[in-house]
Amino acid sequence: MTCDETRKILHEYVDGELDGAAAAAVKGHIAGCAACRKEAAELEALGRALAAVKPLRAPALAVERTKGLVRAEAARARRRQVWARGALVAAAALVLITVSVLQLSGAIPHLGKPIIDANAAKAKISSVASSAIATVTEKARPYTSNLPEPMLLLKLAGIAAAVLVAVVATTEELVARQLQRRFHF
Amino acid sequence: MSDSEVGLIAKAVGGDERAFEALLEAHKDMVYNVAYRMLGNAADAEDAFQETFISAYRSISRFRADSKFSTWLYRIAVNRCRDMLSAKRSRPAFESIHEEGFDAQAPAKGDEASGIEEALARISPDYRTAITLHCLMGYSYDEAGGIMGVPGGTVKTYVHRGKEELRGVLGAGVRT
Repeated sequence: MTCDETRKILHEYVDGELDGAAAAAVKGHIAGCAACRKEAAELEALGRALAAVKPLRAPALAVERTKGLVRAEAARARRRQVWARGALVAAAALVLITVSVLQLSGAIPHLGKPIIDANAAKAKISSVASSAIATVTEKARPYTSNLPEPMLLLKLAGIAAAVLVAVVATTEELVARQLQRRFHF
Repeated sequence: MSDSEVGLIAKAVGGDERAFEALLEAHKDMVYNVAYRMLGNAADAEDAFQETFISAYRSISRFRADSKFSTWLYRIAVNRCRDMLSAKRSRPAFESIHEEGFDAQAPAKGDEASGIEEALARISPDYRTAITLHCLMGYSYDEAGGIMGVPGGTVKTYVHRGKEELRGVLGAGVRT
């Protein structure tokens, strides 16, 4: 084995990664070659020096600061979720109101002019609205019970949006019934 | 991954920051070691440490159990450190851990371990990362490759070349 051949696999030899035959060949070469023996000894010393490097501990202040940032990030994510849900409800309400207004005004030609029993609609809307307020208040309790007082407005806005959706949905239902009765579909 | 770690990951994915804090506690020292060895100073290492965990928290829902959580987390740390090194476009100026006073176990200045740490800070970042993961943290070439995003054989080459650079930096300082 030549010096060049030995040096190509000297790291593996020192790290104990060579199989038996290759390791024996390197061992035989360095026994008779002072230069390669010196190089192997230096690599072994380097390995010992690296093994002596002690692991570091993460600084406590950095750990606490990072935990604080994670908590703040979690709170931000929760707020984003609440706003996203609110926006979704508002968008749904807007669509329903638009469709209902168009239908009630007869702006959608093929539906014709709707006929609505005003008293029945009033009773139905009142009943659905009461039930919606109770349901939404109950469902929202886990999310709103810990909210500070200034957040009360947000809570009321959420309930108002839900009631609006219920009213629109009921109006929709009444309009649909009238249409069914009129056109027999 | 242990069953408890799998449970903590599932809770953290569901937004439970306490579960994520438990994962942070379990991996904080390793992440700091990677960051410190790659960046060479405590201030940058702390920034990278912080950004690694925030990034991990934001993206934990994308973690897939086909790799170890530690591999995924340390890869985030390595990438963050690489970005910081690219931004600096210069080798890190080594800062003694002993002077910072963060680690009571840190080697005294001037001894062999301190010498090798100073030398580590002066070699190429990829070689330093490979040596940190394989020689200091005990990862196999393949595991270190998973963290660095390169094949295990490349890590082996980096380790060997890194040791050659270390020998060059240490010169006569390598005591045989």
